[in-house]
Amino acid sequence: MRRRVAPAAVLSLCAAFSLCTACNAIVGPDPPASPAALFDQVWNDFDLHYSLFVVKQVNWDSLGAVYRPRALAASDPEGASTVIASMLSKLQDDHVLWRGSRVGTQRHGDYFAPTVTFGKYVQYGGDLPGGISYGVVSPAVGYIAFSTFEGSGWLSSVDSALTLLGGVNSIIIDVRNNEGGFLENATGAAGRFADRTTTVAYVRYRNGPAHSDFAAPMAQQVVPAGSRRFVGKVYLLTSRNTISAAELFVLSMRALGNTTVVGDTTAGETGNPFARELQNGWSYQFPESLELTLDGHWFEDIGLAPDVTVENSIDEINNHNVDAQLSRAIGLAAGKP
Amino acid sequence: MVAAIASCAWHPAHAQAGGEPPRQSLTVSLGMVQDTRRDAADSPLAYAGNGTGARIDYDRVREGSRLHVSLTAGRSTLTPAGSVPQADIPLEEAFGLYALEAGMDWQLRGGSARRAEFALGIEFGSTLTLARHLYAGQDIAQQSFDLGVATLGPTARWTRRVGAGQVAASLAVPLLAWVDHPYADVRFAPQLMHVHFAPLSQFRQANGELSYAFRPESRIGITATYRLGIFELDELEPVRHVSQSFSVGVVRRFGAMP
Repeated sequence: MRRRVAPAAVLSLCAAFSLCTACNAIVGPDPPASPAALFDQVWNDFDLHYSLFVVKQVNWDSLGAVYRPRALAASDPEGASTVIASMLSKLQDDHVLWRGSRVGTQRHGDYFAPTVTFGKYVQYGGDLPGGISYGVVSPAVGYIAFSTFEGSGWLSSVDSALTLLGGVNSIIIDVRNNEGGFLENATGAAGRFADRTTTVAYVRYRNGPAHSDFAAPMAQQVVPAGSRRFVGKVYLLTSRNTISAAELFVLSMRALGNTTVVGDTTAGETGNPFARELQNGWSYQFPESLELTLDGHWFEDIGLAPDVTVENSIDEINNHNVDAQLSRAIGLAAGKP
Repeated sequence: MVAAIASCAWHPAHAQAGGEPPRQSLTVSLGMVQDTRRDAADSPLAYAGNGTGARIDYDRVREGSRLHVSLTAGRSTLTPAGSVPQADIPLEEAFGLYALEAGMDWQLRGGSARRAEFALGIEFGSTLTLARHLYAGQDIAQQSFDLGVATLGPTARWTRRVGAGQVAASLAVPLLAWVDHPYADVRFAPQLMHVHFAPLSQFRQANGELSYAFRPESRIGITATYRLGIFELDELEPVRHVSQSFSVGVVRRFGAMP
């Protein structure tokens, strides 16, 4: 009798463990994937988590009232997807991604990347992994272009660029065509120019159902980092194509001091993206935070104004080989006011 | 319930025996875990999967009262519990559960080593679950959704000799709970943590355990245990979680033997 009891007990425990279907019943079924349910999930998700209603001044309830009947009228989920994308585009937020694609843009006017930098103004040094190009304007003035803040291991390229520029006295850093990337790369790059830990900006995260519910401001700091720190003067080139993490870099460099920002106002597109998914597997992203300057103002849809405003024109660049912004920065580096 | 516990405390079953030396045991268990969960802060989808777990139990029994402390750690890989045919990206979560439980129970009068024994007690529990929502190939590699819970509530425990071993069944139902359920992803925003008291209208939890100890009189023994935990938090972003595990442990017993 005793010999039979122990195996029976073990088998009973194993049988109990296999009752996972009961677990699914307790957790409950997934929501339906009907057009109405998908629309409601997205609308509710934005309502609870999107951080920029306070800036956009969009009446989200009204948008829901307008677009929900259209979603319900859709014959299939793909039709609902089109309706949802149309609704999200009204936010005019480049950080809103619907199924991997941007559905809104708030850029004002045409933007372009200067193409006459190397050859006319800068003696080309080389390209480094992570979209970093470097060169020298003169023996005393270096030039680095960060085309992105994306990528792991990106900061090592910054160290390499600073090492390769050797003993220049000042550096022109070009983020005019930088659409952002990882925040840690932006602050990490700024750390190569920092001599002490410095608060450079604040960020507030949405933390409640009201559109104005935010957690307390959290300081964003730059910590001295890197194998080589540059302590000379920095001239930072910006444009309307300086976006997101690149704008945090601008805030960082400005807060560190010793930096003059030259060019045009930045894009004013902020917000740490929050990734979400729907019950049918569709994915989307939107900002869950609000970036603030050191004096506590948001700059979403406003941008960061330069210290020295210089506007480029396509005509000057394409037809006359003139990059007025870079030219001005070079002049400032040479001591010309 | 409180009165019953207090009554047992004042009249422990073996108090008449007087001066019974304590019995202690230390159990180290390894096993497999299965988690099924839905956290609306994380996803509308329920996620489920299997993993491995480890647990350390310490028991000290004296004169009908039992002190119990346990540490649990488990990790599992979760995927959507249901079919998601149109997923834009691979859906996967790395899930971890870490728990500390400590409690006392007092045996009701009339029990003996050979017959069924019943004990009532109280238990403090603290659990931290860490869900890393993974986004393979995306610019956002992962998001973190954590949940911390501290609870206090009554326990009931029943034991009986069966064959050469001993079967034990226990149930803990916390009545007081403090919860930290962050509003959103906490990768960059630790201040999203929000510890608050969750009343019974919002919080329900039950932890059950069924174990079989082989040769409970020996200094070193084996124990097999099945555990089932059910957790429900009804708030703006509700959470439901069912965890079950099956483990086999080695027990080292100290002190007086029965």
